[in-house]
Amino acid sequence: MLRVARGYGLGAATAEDVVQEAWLRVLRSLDRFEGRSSFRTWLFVILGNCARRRATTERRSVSLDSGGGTAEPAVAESRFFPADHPRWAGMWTTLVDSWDSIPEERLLAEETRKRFRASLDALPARYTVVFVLRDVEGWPSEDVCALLDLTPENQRVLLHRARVRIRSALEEYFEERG
Amino acid sequence: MSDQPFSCQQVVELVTDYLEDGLDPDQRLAFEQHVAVCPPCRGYFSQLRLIARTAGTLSEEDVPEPLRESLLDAFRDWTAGPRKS
Amino acid sequence: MKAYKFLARGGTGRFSDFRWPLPADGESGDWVESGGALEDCRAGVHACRPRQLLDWIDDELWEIELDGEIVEGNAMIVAQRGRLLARIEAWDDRAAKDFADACAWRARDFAFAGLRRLGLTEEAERLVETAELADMQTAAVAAFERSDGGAAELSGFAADAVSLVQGRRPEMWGEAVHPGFHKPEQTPGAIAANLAFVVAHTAGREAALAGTQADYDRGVEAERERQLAWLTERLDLRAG
Repeated sequence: MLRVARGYGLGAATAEDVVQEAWLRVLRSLDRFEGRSSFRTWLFVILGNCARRRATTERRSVSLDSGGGTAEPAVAESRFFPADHPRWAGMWTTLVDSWDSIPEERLLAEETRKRFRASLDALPARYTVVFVLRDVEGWPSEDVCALLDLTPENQRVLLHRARVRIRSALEEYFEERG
Repeated sequence: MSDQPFSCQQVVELVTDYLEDGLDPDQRLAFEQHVAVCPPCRGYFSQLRLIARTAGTLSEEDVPEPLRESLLDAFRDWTAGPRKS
Repeated sequence: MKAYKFLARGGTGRFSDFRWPLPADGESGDWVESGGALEDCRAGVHACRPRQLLDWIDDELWEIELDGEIVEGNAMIVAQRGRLLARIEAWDDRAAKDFADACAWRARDFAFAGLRRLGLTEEAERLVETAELADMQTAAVAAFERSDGGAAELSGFAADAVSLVQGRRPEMWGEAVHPGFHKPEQTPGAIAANLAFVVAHTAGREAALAGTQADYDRGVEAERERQLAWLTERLDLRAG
């Protein structure tokens, strides 16, 4: 939880306070836990709210990417023909699998899940929270936007970045085995 | 390939917007028209959609272990006694 | 009304990922209802007139019946409901491959025209003499290296067309494939869709180089008409 709080750009001491505050809120609101999602993700949501409120109060910039900016591209530039190519500017230089032919047992196998977990672990907290709520827990986007105080556009950007990084990690894994 | 409004490089940035219904009608058509004729983009589109879909099969155990552990530790610490601010 | 519809393998929508109810035992597939009004072609059952099919080529071709409110756009038809009537069996992997090959040979024709215009008659003749796509690629690469400007562009496209037919990427001309290299699967339908588009674009480029940029669209359309004629004959499609 400390890592998640730190993910919002808070200093170490403040992060600890935020975690403590989050736990207090959790214990106070246990009776309101609706069981709609796992306790874990619900906890992250409360933690996220605390951290964001605290970050605003302390006037630290909480960088929820609003799109564009200096975030890295979804796919490395080197995988596309350059902008001055006479015939294929901006087009894929490489083939891209559809993963349709990967048998379901392999997709859901322990080793794949391990890679999935590892790539989740490497994500910045603000991507993880959106991805977990939307794609893992299946929350509708309006609810995620409301809970995390995001515009639909912001939410889409965060979700995209999470999915893109996971894709990269899984692509590496699937291509190792051939 | 100048008669396609989107290059592959642009398409890969738009997949989630497309899946989330965040493109306007012209963009949506241009996206589909590109993916329809571009095998690598078909593959990429398919991959992202698959990730979004199979993520739902992850469970509590798939949450990164260090995160789970620090959660439990934090809870144990807290229940051991309120921290001084 | 009756129309056509391409689907991905398994009778699945390429974008919707929707599994269509298939015809069985001489019965049409169940009606599929799209909820709500047909705004902006987002909702609704999508289908094609024959000319529109070229933009949506895929693994399986189906005849579909549409009903309810129907909106005809440039790119597609959108209807309130639809049901699959029958699979156009003539569109199989073989047909898709033949179609893609035919497109690649057309790319050769445009390269030939471009080389002739530049006075590179020897390279042009060598290109026209070939009878196998791999040989055509070799001749196109040689022509590419000896020409520039529009002729090089068209020769490049001809060489690329062969790579694409082989399920490779542009400019991977005749390179040896590393053993153990995992080549992602591309269905013959996907390759056919790709070649149709690339070669229509090549036709447009040839027209623009021979004439003006304004001729580009005309060149594309003319090539699309040829592609449609090929499909109509091979698949016995209805007119219109």
